[in-house]
Parts: sequence; structure tokens; C-alpha cells
Amino acid sequence: MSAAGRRRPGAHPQLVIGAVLVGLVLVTALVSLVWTPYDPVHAGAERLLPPGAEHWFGTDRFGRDVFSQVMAGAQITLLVGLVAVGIAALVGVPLGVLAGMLQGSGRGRPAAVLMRGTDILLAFPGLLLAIVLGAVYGAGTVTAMVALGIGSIPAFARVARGGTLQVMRSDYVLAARAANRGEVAIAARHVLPNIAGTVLVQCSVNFAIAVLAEAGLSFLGLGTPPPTPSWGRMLQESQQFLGLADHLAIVPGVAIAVAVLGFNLLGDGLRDVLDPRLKTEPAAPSRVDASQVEPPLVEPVETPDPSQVEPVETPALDLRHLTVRTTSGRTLLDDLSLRVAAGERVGLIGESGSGKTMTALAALGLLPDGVAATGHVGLAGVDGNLLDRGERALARLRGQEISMVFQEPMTALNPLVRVGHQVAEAMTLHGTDGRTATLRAAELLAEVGLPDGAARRYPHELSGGQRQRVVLAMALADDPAVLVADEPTTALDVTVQRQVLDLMTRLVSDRGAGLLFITHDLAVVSQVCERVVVLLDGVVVEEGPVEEVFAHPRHEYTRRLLAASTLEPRPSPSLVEPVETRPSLVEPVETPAPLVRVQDVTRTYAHRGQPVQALRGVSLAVQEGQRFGIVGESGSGKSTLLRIVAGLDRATSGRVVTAGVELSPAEPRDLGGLRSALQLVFQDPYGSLDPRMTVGDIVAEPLLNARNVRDGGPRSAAGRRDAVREMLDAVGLPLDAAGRYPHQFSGGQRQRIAIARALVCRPRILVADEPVSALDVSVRRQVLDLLARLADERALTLLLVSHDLGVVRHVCDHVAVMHDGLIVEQGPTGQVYDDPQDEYTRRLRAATPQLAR
Amino acid sequence: MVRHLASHAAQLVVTLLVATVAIFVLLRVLPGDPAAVALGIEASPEALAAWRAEHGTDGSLVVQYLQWVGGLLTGDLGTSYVTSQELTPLVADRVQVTGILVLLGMLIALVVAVPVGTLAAVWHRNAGGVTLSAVSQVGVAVPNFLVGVLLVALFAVRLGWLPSGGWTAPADGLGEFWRHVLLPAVALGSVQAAIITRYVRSAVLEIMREDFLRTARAKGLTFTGALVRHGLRNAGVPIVTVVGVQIASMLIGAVVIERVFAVPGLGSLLLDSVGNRDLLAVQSIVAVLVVLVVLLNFLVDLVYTLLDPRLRRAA
Repeated sequence: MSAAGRRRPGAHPQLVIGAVLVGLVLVTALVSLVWTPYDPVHAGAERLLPPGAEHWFGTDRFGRDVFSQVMAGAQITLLVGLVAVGIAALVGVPLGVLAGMLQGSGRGRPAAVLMRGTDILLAFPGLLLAIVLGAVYGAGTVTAMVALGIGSIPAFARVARGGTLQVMRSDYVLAARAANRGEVAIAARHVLPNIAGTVLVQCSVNFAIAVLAEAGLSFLGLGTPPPTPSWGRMLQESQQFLGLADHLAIVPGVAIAVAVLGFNLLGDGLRDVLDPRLKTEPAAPSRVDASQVEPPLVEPVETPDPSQVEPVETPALDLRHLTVRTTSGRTLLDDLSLRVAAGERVGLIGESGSGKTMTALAALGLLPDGVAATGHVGLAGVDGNLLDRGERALARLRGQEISMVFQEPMTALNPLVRVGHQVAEAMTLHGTDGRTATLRAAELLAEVGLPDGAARRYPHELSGGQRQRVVLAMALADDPAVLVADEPTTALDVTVQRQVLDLMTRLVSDRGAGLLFITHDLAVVSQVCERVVVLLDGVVVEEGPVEEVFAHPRHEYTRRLLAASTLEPRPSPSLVEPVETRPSLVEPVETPAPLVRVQDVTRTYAHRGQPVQALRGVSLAVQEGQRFGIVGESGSGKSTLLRIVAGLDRATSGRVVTAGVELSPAEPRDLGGLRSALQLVFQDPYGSLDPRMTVGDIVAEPLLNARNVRDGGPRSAAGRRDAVREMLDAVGLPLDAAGRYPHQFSGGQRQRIAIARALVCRPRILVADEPVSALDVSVRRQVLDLLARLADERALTLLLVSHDLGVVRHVCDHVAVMHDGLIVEQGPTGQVYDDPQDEYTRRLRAATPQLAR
Repeated sequence: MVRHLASHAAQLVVTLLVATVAIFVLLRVLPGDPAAVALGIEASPEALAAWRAEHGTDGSLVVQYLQWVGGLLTGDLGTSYVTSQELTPLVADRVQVTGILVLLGMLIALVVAVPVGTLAAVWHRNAGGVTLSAVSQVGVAVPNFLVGVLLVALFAVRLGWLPSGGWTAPADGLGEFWRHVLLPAVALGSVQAAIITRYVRSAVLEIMREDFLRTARAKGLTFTGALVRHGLRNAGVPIVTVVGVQIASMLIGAVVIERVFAVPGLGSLLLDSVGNRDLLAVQSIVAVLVVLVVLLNFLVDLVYTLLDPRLRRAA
């Protein structure tokens, strides 16, 4: 972990208190080895003395000093805990890692057998095992330690397996595979460092369990035999003197509690420190790539303050001087004023971190904890400022007067409740009786285009688009005056997006409601909205009618955003030229064989016992130097095809040859040659870089396997460092980047790091899987242009997968359109785009939002 | 769903099979000839043979295992080597006592933990929530037998309100039953309450971050309304798992509490049998405990499936 990823230890009181208590126990045990005030084993004083100056905690029934006994008792407690946790971790963690790695690399059956095997141990809790072993081999310290250790093996195995699986599913492991790293190297470099924290937490928590169990066993007389002092036995012996000498029970009891509390707090504190969700945010939001020199932002253009303009009519939604700050004082939204008239559709545009979602949440009074709004939120027909209302008064308005559609349809609905009921609830909450609401809910679901009987479905039985329709039905159930839609179609496929947008626009105008439409996508705004407001870093920089703003942007940022949103087609597709630039690599044959050839490839896999056909007979050929795009929506099979071409997955049938390496199902696999020829860039720049490695180590990783490098490559560490530095420079990152960690970079910069890693071995083919879909508009263009430039400079063959026709058209000269596991159309990009032959391609094109200017 | 359950049931059978073999090997095979254990090294070969014939330990180990498991299946746990008592009625009696104790303890734990854990989550940013969380954290660290000892010290020794130990079955007088069961059940339940409070808190915290809770508020529920109507049932799914696991651990953990309060439960019987080196009794009691634990885990799976429609589809 990097220094910047850590928070000040003071921010974690649990960790500090836990460490102090554990330290106290540890020091006590160590000191007691050489010194205790009195002999803990031999009597030397009066019996049953109460606590006093001579004997701080009194004496026991034999006249032994209780304080000395408690000190010495810490030894056995720590010893048992240490050995028990040691046994459990040393057996459980390798088992779990093995199971996780097996399952993560598609060998689920042996993994399941392994885990079921350890699960059987769950039937024998440590305490029971200790009693049983005690019965056979005699009770004692060793028996207790071993039994408690064995009993905890499943817990460690589970934790290790879970962590390993998570790591194995990450793109950075896929990248390591693509870089020819063996399983052992992956385990050592990626899996173990990334699960170490979780295992440490488990150790601490399990230590607490062992301390408690040891005390219990001693209490039962099954632990360490006398005369060795032990806390549990002290407690047990105290029982007969209850009422006479209660300190005999209280002192060892407190000692046990302190030790257990210490280890539990330490574990919880460690968990908090290591929880990625609680990690400090990256230094800067990913809005603008720091690598690009940025023109200084000019002051906001003078736009008339809407709150000052005389209102033509009472707006449906009236936000005035809205400011949102975190309790720590960071301003998320600064003095925003915005009005939505009845029946008007207003677009609020901004990139990530611009404050657009905060605007929506503030309008509905749904701001999260730790964030507060000042200013004025007004609704037509509602008196006063909504910000002054309490939760109960706000709730009456929500749904009724103003409602909202959220970005992520997959998680917006309660998974345990039928959707019809969830829609009906929106009405019963505002006074409709149950029967009417149920009938009306069914009508509404039909109105948003869901099939009959949808009301009785659970959310997981519906697709993303269908779920978003349910949320829409719910939001409009009470005919609110204002609908706020926060990126409602961003998570949806293009063709589905089109349908949902059309539906939403129609429903809103039917009802005469105002719409506040929040998006990062300028093209969508130009289709849906009449007026647009541009937000940058929480400040409105420009607003006006859509046509006016888009045709004559006045603010520098709007202009940049517009420029970045328009991905013009790649000029003239030239197939011949790149081939000529690398004559030495191409065999002088009559007709150059394609660099990638895919013939009649199918891929079937089992999902919940059902066979699913991801590819149903796909053929394509990519020539050397070509920039080949694959376009399709989710589930079209485009990523599966990509993985097969890259040798990361195997076809069920058919023939695949990549860079002269036979990848067909029947052939034995030797991917060594392929790895030097082909490298990958993945979609999610946050998941494709190992968070615990420096950027320098990440980029250098492919160089560690000499087979990856065609000319042998740099062998020495210094040579690798030079290669990394050169590569970082080529992708436009500062030189000091090599020493930093991924979380210190923005999304666009991370994608540059991923590109550097892919190109460091100078492959012939670069495969990019949705390389820009997770990036903001302005960054997207920079990364695409970088890819295109590097492809030219390095004579790369580019294979690019995207859901976005515009992206492919901008970069590629050849395109294949995929739908339902088939290529429905392929050819030169311009031709396919301008004159689509297939019905699906036409639909896809028509659905792609165009920026109307 | 049927397939889901069938696969779980199959797993259950395999687990029980392996577990009984493990118990048999541990307690019957490894310690050596039970006849020699019972009669001592000095015993004559004839006496040993007679003992083996009487207790059915003269066949091969496989036959003995099958006889034992067959007995378990038909509810015949065998006869104690030491006291020559029939084990089945004895164990059945003790299971009842421990069962009452554990269920009552869990009831007490849930009555405390669900509201307290929920409040601790809802108030997690203010002093009230932090206090509740800290108290539960300390509660988890206190061994239940310490609570037991302190309860005895206070209510039995000091105040003399309740007996310090012993047991009366409900059939022998409800008043006496309650007087005897109260302290051990509270001792067992209070620590569980602390443990489950922490799970409830984290489950509710998790739910509070869910998008669907925000959706529920957007359609007109207050925060509290959304939490009660949509949150708690979702939080219930992980909590049910914990309750199942904890009941299983309480079955074993009750051993200690039974010792403190001299309650004649299954744990006391197990400890007495260990003390007498009555290995057949130990073997059968452990088997009963393991079966109970495994069945509880199966039951948790079942409830889980009923609560979550996403798992029902898996058929």
C-alpha cells in the first residue's frame, strides 16, 4: 500500500485502541517471563486477601498473588492463540488460495470439492473438537491449541478463497496471463499481496476467538493443567468463593475481556483501513487528463441569473443559489440557479465530479449523510423552501410533486419485492387505496411497454431496460409536476437507450410535467431537451436553448466538450500503407495471410446448468496493419470473440489462428509465441491495474518473461527501467509516474498506463476491449487519438471492441457488427456506416444519438 | 429450487457420512480396544472376550461402524460402557434441556440485538450509535461464563432472588422452571446479543447504502419508512445466516454455561462421559451434536432460499 492510500492512524480509533490493548497483553506476557511481583505458583501470603496496597488484586484461596497469576496467565493465552491461529492460517490459507485459483481459472469442480472438504470441518467447532481430542488424548495445552487451530481452518479457507477469487476475476490478472505469467508468479505477485490484508484481519479476529475458547476450556478443566496459571481456570476456581471474594472472578474476567476486545478492535480497525470503499479518493477527478496541457478556464460567460429575470410563469422546479458542501467544507455545487417550467425539458450536462447528481439529490431532499445544501428549492404549488422541510414533509412531496429516475436500473429496485407491488406502493403512499393502486400499477407497466404479467415478476427476472421502465412507471405513477432523471440510460445498450428515451419524452409531455435531465452525453441532450445547462466543477458555466448553445458555445469548456463529443470518422482508410512500413516482418509471399483468422467459431458455456451460445459461427480475417473494429451491444458475443482471439478463452468449435499461432480447440496450446505478438487493453482502468504495484512495476511486468520480447528484450533491471521510461513517455505520462501507485492517477491516465503495459514488449497486435467506455467525454477523445497515433507510429494491427459506432468509426478502417453471437455485417467502416445492409446495423445506427448542431 | 435443495441435501448426506466416519475413527479406532480401556491391562483374555461380546465390539471395525450408524439412524445410541445405561432416553432428555436453554438464549439475544443493531446503524454518525457500537464490542469480548458467574454472584449469592444452579423441567412446575432457566438463558443470550447486534448493525449499514432504498424514498417514503419496509427484509437475509451459525455454536458453547449453573444438559453429559472415559457415550453425543449442527446449517440454507427470490430461480 502506498503512503497516500493510508489514512492517518488517528482517524481509526478502533485500530489505535485495539493495538494498545493487544500491546498491553503482549508486554504483560513478556514481562511476566522474567518478573512478577510475587511467585504466581507458590503461596506466600494470607488466603483470600481483598485487593490492597500489598497485593493489588488480592490473593486466592492458597494465598497466591492474583496480580502475578493474571500476568503469568497472559503467557498461556497468547501461546494458545498464536499456535491455533498459526495452524488455521497455514493450512486454511493455502487451501483457500488453491481453491480460488482453480475456480478463477475455470476449474470449478476440483475447487468445489476442496471447499466442501474443508466445510465438513464446520460440523466440528473448535470447542467440541477440543473436548473430543481431550477425551482421547487427554486434555492439555497442546490438545487445546491443535483443536482450536483445526476448528478455524474453514474460516481461513473461506476468507482466502473469497479474496483470491476477487483477485482472479480482476483485469490485472488477465493482463498478467496475457503477459505469459505462470500461475505461481500470479499467486506470488498479485494474489498474495492483495489478500494479505484480509487474512491479517481474519488472524486478529480469530485470535480473539481462540482466547475466548481457551478460557472456556480452562474453565471446564480441559485446558492447561495446574499449576500453570490460566485465566479460565482462575475464573472457574473463583466460583466457590462468590460473595466472599468476588475479585477472584472479576480480575481474570476483565483480563480475558481486555485481550478479546483488543484483538477484535485491531481486526475491525485493520478492516476499515484496508476497505477500498473507505480509501481516500484519488487526488483529482478524472475530468481532464493532466497529461494534456489545458487552456486556462475563462470566467463563466455572463448569463442572466435566472433568479433575477422576471419569471414568465411560476416554474415547476425552481433552484436558486443552491450550494452543496460536505461537512468537511468541500464545495460540490456552487451557487447554482436553474428553473424548469411546466412541460419544459432541461438538460444538465457535466462530467464526473461536476456536481450534477448532487443537484438532483438536493432537489428531492435525498442528499447523503455528510453533505448539506443551502439556497432555495421551490416547487410549483408548494409553499416555501424545500430545504427547510423535514424528512416527513419532504416525503409527502416526493413521488407526488417531484420524482426521480436513477442511473443504475440493476440496483434501483428492491430485489425481494414484486415490481407491481413496488409501483403500486408509490400510489398507496400518497393515499390511493390498495386495490386501485394494484390495477393502476398493471396499467402503468403496460404503458411503459412491459409484457402482460410483468407486475408479478421480481426485478432479477427483468432486463436492465425493463427495470428502467419499471422505475419510470414508479416515478410517474402519481403524475408529478417534475421528473428528475439522472443518467437514466447510461447503463443501457444503445438500441434500448433510444426506446427508453423516446418513452420518457412521450410520457413526460403527455403529463405536461417538467423534466430535469442529467447526463454526460451531449448527443442525448440534443435529442431530449429544449434547454441546456452546462456544469463544470459545481459551477454553471453556460446555459441557453440547446440549438443556440451547441451551435454557438460561448464558454471555452462547452466548446471543448462539444469538440470532444464529435468523433469525426477516420479520414481515408488505407490498407496498403502500414504493410509497407514493416517489410522485414512480413514473409515475402504472394498474398499476405491475414494476421488474425477466425473461421466458423462457436463458443458454448454452461450457465446455471443451461448451455448458452455466446458465439454461433463467426468468421473474420484481420490483415496486418489493419485497424479492425467490432461493434455490438451487451450479450452480442464481442468480448468472448476477443478473448478467444487473444488466447484467453477457447472456442468450442471452429478454427482460430492469431499471428501464426494455432488457437483452434483441437490443437495443443502453446501461447508463448502469441504473447509476444498480442497484448491487451481492458475496459475498466480502475480494475486493470494491480493497486499494490507501482506503475513502473506494472508496465515492466510483461518484460519479466523473456519469451514475450521478440528480440530478447532488456535483461537487466536497468534495461527494463529504460524501456518503461521510454514507454511512459510515449503514452504522455510524466517520468515520475513510474514510482507512483495507480490510485494516484485519473481514469484517463490509468488507461494510458494500461496502454504502456500492453506496448512495452512491442507486440504486433493490440487488442482493446471498450478502452474508453469508462472515461469522460473529454478524456475519451485523447485516449482514442493516442491509440491511433501509437498504432501508426508502431505499425500496430489494432483490434478494437466497442458498443459505440462513433468510437469505431473514429479509429478503425474496417468494422464487423455483431448481434446475438453472429457477425451480421462487415466491411470498410465508411461503407458499413453510410450504407448499412443489415437490418440490425441500420437499427443500431438509427439508435445512436447524434449531436444535432 | 428443487434442484438447489436436492444438491444441498446430497451435500448434507455426504457431510454426515464423512463426519460420522471421522468421529468413529477418532473415538473408537484410535484409542484402541475399548474392552482393555474398560477392564484395565490386568484383565484376563476371557474377561476381555466376554466384555467385547457383551458390548458388540468383537466384530470387524467396518461392521461396528455400520451397526453404530444404523443405530443412530433408528434412534438407538447404544449402551454406556461404564454405567450400562441406555443412552437414547438419557441423550433425548439432555437434548431437551440444552435445546430449551439455547432457544431461549437466542430469543433474548434477538429481542435485544435487532432493535439495538438497527439503531446503531441508523445513528452510526452520532454519539448514540457509537456508544451502542462500543457497548456491543465490549459485550462480544466478555466470555459468557463470566456473565454467568457474575449473575450468580449478584442474583443468587447477594440478593438471593434466584437459585444459583440446578434445573426443573417445565413439566415439573413452570414457576420453578422459570426460576432455574432465567439466569443461564440470560448468560447465554447476553453475549449472543452483543455478537448479533454487530451483525445486524453491519447488515443494516450495508442496506442503507443500497440504491433501492433511495428509490423508495424518491417515491415518497421517509428514511425510516424505507428502512422498515424495504431495508429490514433485505438485511434479514444475512442475519438469518448468522442466527443459524450462532445457534449451532451455542449448542456447543452451552457446555460451559451448563457447568456454571449445574444444568443437566447435553454438554454436562458430554463432559461427565469424557471424565468417565465412557467413549461410546462420547461418540454418540458428539454424533448427535454434529447432526444438529449440520441440520441447522441446512435449515439456514432453506430459509435463505425462501427469503430471496433470486435463489428460488436456480431450479
